[in-house]
Amino acid sequence: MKLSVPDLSCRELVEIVTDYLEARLSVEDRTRFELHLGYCEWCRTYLRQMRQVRDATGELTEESLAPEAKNALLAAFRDWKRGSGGEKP
Amino acid sequence: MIAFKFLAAGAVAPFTGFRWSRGQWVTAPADRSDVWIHACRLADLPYWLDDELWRMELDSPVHEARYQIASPRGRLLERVEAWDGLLAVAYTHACAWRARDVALPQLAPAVRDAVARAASLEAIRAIDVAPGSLVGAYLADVVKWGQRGLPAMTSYVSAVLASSSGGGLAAFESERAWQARWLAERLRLE
Repeated sequence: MKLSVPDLSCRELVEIVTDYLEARLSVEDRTRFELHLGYCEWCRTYLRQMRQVRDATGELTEESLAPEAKNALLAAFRDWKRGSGGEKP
Repeated sequence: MIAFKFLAAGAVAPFTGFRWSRGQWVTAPADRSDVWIHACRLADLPYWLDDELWRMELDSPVHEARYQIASPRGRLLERVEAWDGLLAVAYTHACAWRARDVALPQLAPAVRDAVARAASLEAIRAIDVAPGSLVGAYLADVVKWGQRGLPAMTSYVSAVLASSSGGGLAAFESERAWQARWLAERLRLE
């Protein structure tokens, strides 16, 4: 049996991006991950966005939220749970 | 050890965002080889293309892996100025034309002559090269990315095209080796 090209699909990359950002991948998986990034501009953009999200949410604490923002978030999550799905007009 | 490193514009590491400074040693934890500083041998260049190419010095120990090398300590020496936008386009086109040559014997007879006669990537793009053919589909992709001037994507799909005719990883790596020789020759790297 011939060995296949060392690569991930974009979908596989998305599934393990958190492990990559948290340095939990093996050296082999990390290399495959970065080989994919080497040519895939879309996944590079995705990784950049995920890193920004991680950095931004890492700074967020309950105490740092303004009461109005906290209430708006709680209301949004309550609506979401009821099945409305997302933002209301 | 002297090696090479591709970086995004401004000497920025493309995946981590780390900004390198020329001449300044950068050190990673010696016991964390998964976060060591990565660099390329000449044969590794096509796998890691980016905006800027730098010559770099790696301290010992240097771990040699299949597609890259790594060390706990390294520094940038000087930029390889020959790797610029013009050479990137020339490389992209060279990969696309080579993919055309590799694909030709496997294309449907009805389109083979037209593809062989095509004098530009645009002319190949105008031909429906992919009816029922995986190699044809890869060739269409190569030509598309080649026209858009994306060297990393074009050379990657060219190598996948080479591997798709039954040669698997060996054919993929052989195509990458051809690309590495092209780059080393044009960049005058040793």
